[in-house]
Amino acid sequence: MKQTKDKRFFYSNGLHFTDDIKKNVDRAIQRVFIKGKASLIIVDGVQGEGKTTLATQIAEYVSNSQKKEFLMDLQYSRGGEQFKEKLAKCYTMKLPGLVYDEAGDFDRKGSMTRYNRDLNQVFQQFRTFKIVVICCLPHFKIIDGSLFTNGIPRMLFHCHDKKKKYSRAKGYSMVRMNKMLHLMRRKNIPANEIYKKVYPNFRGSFKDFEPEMSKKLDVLSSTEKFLFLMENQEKLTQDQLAEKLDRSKNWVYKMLKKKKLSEVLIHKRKKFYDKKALEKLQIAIEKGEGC
Amino acid sequence: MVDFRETSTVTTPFTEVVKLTILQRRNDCIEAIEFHKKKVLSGFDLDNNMVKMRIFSLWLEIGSGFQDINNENLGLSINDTVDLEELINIFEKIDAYLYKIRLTKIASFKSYDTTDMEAENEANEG
Repeated sequence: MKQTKDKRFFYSNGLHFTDDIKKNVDRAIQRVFIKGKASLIIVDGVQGEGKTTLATQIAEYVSNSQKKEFLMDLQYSRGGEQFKEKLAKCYTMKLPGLVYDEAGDFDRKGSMTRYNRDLNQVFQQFRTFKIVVICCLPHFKIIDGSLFTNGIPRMLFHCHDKKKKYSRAKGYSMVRMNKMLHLMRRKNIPANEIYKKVYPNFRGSFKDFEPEMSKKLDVLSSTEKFLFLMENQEKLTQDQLAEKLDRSKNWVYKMLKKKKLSEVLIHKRKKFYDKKALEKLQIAIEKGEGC
Repeated sequence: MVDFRETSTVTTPFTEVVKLTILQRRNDCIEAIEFHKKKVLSGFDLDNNMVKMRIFSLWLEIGSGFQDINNENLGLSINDTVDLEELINIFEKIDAYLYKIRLTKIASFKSYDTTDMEAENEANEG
């Protein structure tokens, strides 16, 4: 007997999103894997409109269309550093789609920084990797202008009007994105108003993930957010301590045990240490302990 | 005053002037056909010499170019034709040629599926 998908989470096409979105993602796949050209899909919208959900659904669809399994741990990245790291991993494992969440760090204000230059270079060369990158941003205008000059961002999905069971998305081509940028620059139209001034290519909608997948994404997303928050408060995990001290994880583990340094916080099985632990480990390195 | 012996003029390029004269002749043909049909519908018995001569003038203007592309000499058939409908057919052939050489093609928009974002990008590139 044919198993039908739950209507709460799937449309009649068997996907989480409508046919218009599917058609355009298919075109992006065609561009990357058949024509061998770069294609960056931008998903934007204000907080809580479902950007990460749609981006992950697109990445999953890209993986399935290339007959690959979707590995969320590897195909989901937050911030530029993790993106570069996971892009390399996806390339070696031949995974076809990658989500670049919280891409706000790659903005035009910081375009002169070395970090952004490196990232820009990655984007200009990622054509050779044959990976569809889905970039999540609060607003597409913060993307570095040189990417638009090179014609890398091909399509924009603007998420808005989230309801309990579904959310809406408008699709804009590169041509319309350029028109919106022009209008914002010349006529001083506020960023959030611009979507009312330029007509979209289509209007689509998407449903939430199944509870199991949604929970997984939430854990991945919120853990990363929590780690970032803790790092800002100078609370570090053993891995982060090892990275800062340039020592192995095993060395840090043994030293913490030897020095009887206890964690200040445990969150989802991860132990966090304060600044004092870091300082004591630095002193241990200077004394040459445990080498 | 346009000097047709020169390949360029001071104010208007030579090619533009030729284009205008061709379009003027085409317009004359349309007017002649319109006048003829109007009179016939009103009950007058008219010969179609005016229409014939107007189409022949247009042929003289574009004949060599037409023969280059279509390998067909319409001059003789214009002279031999008596029937108005056949004359209109000949005019339509010449009109199709004018459209082909982009003299009467004024709509320059590209048609594509607007819901396909990549198609829109490709249509506006290059």
